[in-house]
Amino acid sequence: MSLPFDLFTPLLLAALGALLSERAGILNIALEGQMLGGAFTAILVQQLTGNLALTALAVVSFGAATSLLLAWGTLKLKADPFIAALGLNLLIPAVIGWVSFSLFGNQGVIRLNEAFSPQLGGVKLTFVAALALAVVVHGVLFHTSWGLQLRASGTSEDLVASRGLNSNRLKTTALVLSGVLGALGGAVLSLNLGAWVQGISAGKGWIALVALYLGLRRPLPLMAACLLLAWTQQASGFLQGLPELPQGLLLGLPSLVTVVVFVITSATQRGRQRKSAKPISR
Amino acid sequence: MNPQAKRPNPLIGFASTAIALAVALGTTVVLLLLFGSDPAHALTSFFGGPFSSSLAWGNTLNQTSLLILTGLAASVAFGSGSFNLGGEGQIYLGGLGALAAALVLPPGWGIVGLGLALCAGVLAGGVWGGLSGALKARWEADELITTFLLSAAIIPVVDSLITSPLFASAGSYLITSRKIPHEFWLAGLLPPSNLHAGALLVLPLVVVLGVLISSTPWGYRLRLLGRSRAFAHYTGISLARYSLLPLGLSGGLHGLAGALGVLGTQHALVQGFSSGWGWNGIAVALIARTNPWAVVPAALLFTFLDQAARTVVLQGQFPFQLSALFQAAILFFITAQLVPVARRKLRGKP
Amino acid sequence: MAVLATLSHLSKTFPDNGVRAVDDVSLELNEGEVLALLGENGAGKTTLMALLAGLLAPDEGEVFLASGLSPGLAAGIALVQQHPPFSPELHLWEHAILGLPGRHLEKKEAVVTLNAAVARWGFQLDWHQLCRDAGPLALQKATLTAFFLHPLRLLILDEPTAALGPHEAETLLEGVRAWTRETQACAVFVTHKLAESLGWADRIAVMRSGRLEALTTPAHTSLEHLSQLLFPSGLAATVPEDPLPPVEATLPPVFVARGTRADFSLRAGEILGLTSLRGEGAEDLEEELTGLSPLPEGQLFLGGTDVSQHSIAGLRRLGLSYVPSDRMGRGSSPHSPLASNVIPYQATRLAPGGILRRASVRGYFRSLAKRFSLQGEPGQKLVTLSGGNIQKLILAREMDQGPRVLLLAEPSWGLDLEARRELYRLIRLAARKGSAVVILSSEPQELLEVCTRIGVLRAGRLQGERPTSQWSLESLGRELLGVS
Repeated sequence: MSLPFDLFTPLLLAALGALLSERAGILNIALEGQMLGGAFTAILVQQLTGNLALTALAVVSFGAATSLLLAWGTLKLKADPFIAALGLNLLIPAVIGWVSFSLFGNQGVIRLNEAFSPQLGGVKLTFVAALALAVVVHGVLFHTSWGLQLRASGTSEDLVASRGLNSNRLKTTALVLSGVLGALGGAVLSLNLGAWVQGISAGKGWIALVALYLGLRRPLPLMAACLLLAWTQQASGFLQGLPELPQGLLLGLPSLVTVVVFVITSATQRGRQRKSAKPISR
Repeated sequence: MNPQAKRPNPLIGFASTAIALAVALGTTVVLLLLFGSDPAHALTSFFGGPFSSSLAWGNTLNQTSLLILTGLAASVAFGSGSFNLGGEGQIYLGGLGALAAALVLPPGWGIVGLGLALCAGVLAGGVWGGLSGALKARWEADELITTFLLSAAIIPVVDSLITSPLFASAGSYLITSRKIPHEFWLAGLLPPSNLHAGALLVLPLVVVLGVLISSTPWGYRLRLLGRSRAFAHYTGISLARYSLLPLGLSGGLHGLAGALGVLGTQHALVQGFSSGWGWNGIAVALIARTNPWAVVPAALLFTFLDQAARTVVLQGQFPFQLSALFQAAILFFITAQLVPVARRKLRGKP
Repeated sequence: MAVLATLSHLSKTFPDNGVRAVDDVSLELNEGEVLALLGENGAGKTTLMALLAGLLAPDEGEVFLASGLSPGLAAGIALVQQHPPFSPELHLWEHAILGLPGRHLEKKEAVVTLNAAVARWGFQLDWHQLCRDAGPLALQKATLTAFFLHPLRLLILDEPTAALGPHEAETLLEGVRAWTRETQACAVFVTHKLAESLGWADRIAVMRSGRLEALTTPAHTSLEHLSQLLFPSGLAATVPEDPLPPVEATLPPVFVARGTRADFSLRAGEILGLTSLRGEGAEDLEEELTGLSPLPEGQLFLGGTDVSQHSIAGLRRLGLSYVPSDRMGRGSSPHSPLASNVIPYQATRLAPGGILRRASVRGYFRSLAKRFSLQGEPGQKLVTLSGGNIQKLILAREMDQGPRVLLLAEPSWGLDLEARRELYRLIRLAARKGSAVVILSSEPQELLEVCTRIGVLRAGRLQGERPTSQWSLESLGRELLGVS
């Protein structure tokens, strides 16, 4: 079985986005919509301008803008981050349908003349870039002051405030980065295919959230989690023709494993809290 | 690892609901006027569409009845301080439970078999929701995450079971299971619309749940938990038991919605037939501010707007999914604190 | 010596309860000095410090700061809380260097810097542990170390030595004093320990009921004098008009703690007051007696049953009623109607046939309101009531259970005089009706007014428990402070 690059790279990008937002304390549920939007924006701008740099710029702007909208709703208007993000997940495909219909007369498929999958010695560049990004995210989170501030703001806003730092600004930045990564993930997906297809992300924004918890909320195990998830997706594709094999179980298994991992983490944390009866000070 | 501790209380602020609805409706109408091909006609079909024929009427009512169920399901969970984001999977599983029962039971059992098939759907959804409740009760695993993940885990499993030899049908271009025997169909009420006898179950169920939640000691404790978890705990309410029950009940209601979809509308399990019902139920519950009685008008309003938007788009007067747009606007604004709430008294001590 | 900060006629009233926490306080803080701030619990010290640090805005008056100085760590002012906020997922070294300028995070370097900084205070810390596992003492030390890495000119320490041993406390205060001398900075520390303020401060400020009672120097005062200022002997406790009858010595005890941090044995009709200074474990005791935290040692008996392992639900079933100090969180549902707030224990009884009738719920509220003269309508939301009326409603609800044991924590926090009197009357009524009452309070005055027996929680043990008649405010104050 070959390495599932085409599934892995977008998933890893989105999962890194999920990680940054979760660590800052405001899990980005809108990734699914942002991936779709990134995929569409890439094809749209590439089709209209033929300029890859402009395309990248547009994709990044799209991710940043939608994240800013979410940050405004949740941090300024104090909306529930989960519910508001669900709203974005509905909004984005609707707007895509509109734009696609107005410009191309259909909502389904837009095909470019060529696909973009630059390679270096037989390895896809996007794959290498995504792996490098994971290492960069690890470095930023655990080896820079800013990463430390981000992690602190995700768990104790009081602590961040007591050191004179602005927790909302940290959260907004994390959300913007998260949205940009999600949109880039989507762009990789569609440019690699050379086409926009409705529903192209196929739930990868949600799977990225599964990967986040399966990857223990750390960038390096996250890569392994994404690889596992991409493999199971690829495997189920192979098994489509063999109805006697339970491919559904295979697809459902990663989520199930994640639940188990999550429950074990919760249980051990709880055990730790329970054990610590307050000592008597003398 | 506990996002719930940071969540704002969605119960506060009735005015915010009204504003969110107004913003959503206003946006929709403005877009209709700006971009509709024939604004006057578009507005007429928007507001009149859902009632234009008995077909439209029936479909609107059928969709409303399902949304009432999923809205109730979300309300029961939210109102007691448990967040159920796994509606999609629970509904789908409920559909599978009903399908399995309807295919296994001898058709001669008639109405009894039909009842059993409904129960199987409720049970399937209930077990899946209750599982998250049990995980929370036993290990304090945040149900927000586990409901979502368990739902994500079960959907592909149901998908693949549909096409497995157990349930598969030959020669259909849709991905769907075999049809269930005619004896287990819920009778159509307003043919050719989708409305069926199952919808008649929904209103009595609203009354039962409404009374249960607003007028029994059990419902009182649930509401107390939803509003003030610490206080409820200190009065001696078992947090474990009251995590399990509402999530189980919520899952059961989702399961019933799935079962009605299979037994009443599709008469088979069509892949992705219930996609979106769970998320829409959450929107309805939030519009109703988790009050079970208010779920009925909220679901009616939501379905009306949804169908209206679909009508306009279908008739080509508007170029894209208007319904998704206003649903998005409702969800985005519904929990926002658009009216600043006087909360100074919430801080306990000086 | 230049002035670093001037507090000019500061006043602050909390709208929640109308209490004037700081009342017309003026004070100057100088470069290179250590100021000790003394005062009973609730005297307004913490509020005053929050005003100085810019965390609160005064209602009246102004804070003038020397040029270049403004609130916030980077601008030279820091407030070290007794329980500093922390993130459970960070390591202690990360906790300490959070917010320092510089982009790169190098663990080895950071730990070297921190070890050098911490050596000055005579501490030793394991920087590699998670904050979740570190414990309050290590967190406080790490936070203190963290703040000293910033260019501070004004350092405010809230009860810095409450949890420290005598040697550590001494090293810390010595270090603080040396630091003020070297850098011409100013340190203010809030404390209960008189000897500490005499030994390490340049000046001592004493607060009582929001006012600055005295400003003196160690040379001009003594342990006796300070104790007198904090707990004046002239301020006699008001004797209740309706004294409780003495309790029969032959009655069996209903609430017994054995081998715990506060051992007692209580009979029906008695009111036991337990008081302590902050940081001496009263908050922990509240949680242990109500089943929230496990007992670290010893056993607890309620009506002869060993309840050491019981949860709050189990304790309530056996006849414990509880009025928590966190009255808007644990004690009530602020955004629910009054009726919903009084029926949690009556819900089943009020629902014959399983249906909770609105009429019977309202009827119950009205009867309770009549018997305890409660304010408000059954459908009214709880938050709309005043603090005193909320507390009365909570107490009425708990008393109506006819409890064997009634436990109250900080029952009169934030209440005005009239509301307090009414509260004390009700507590005595509960005892007269046969409840054994325990009051945890940080206000000695209130215990003298309402209790039949009083004990002091100090150094992890209950000290000098005896009948109220054998206590005076002065002797209670001495026992609290550990002045023999």
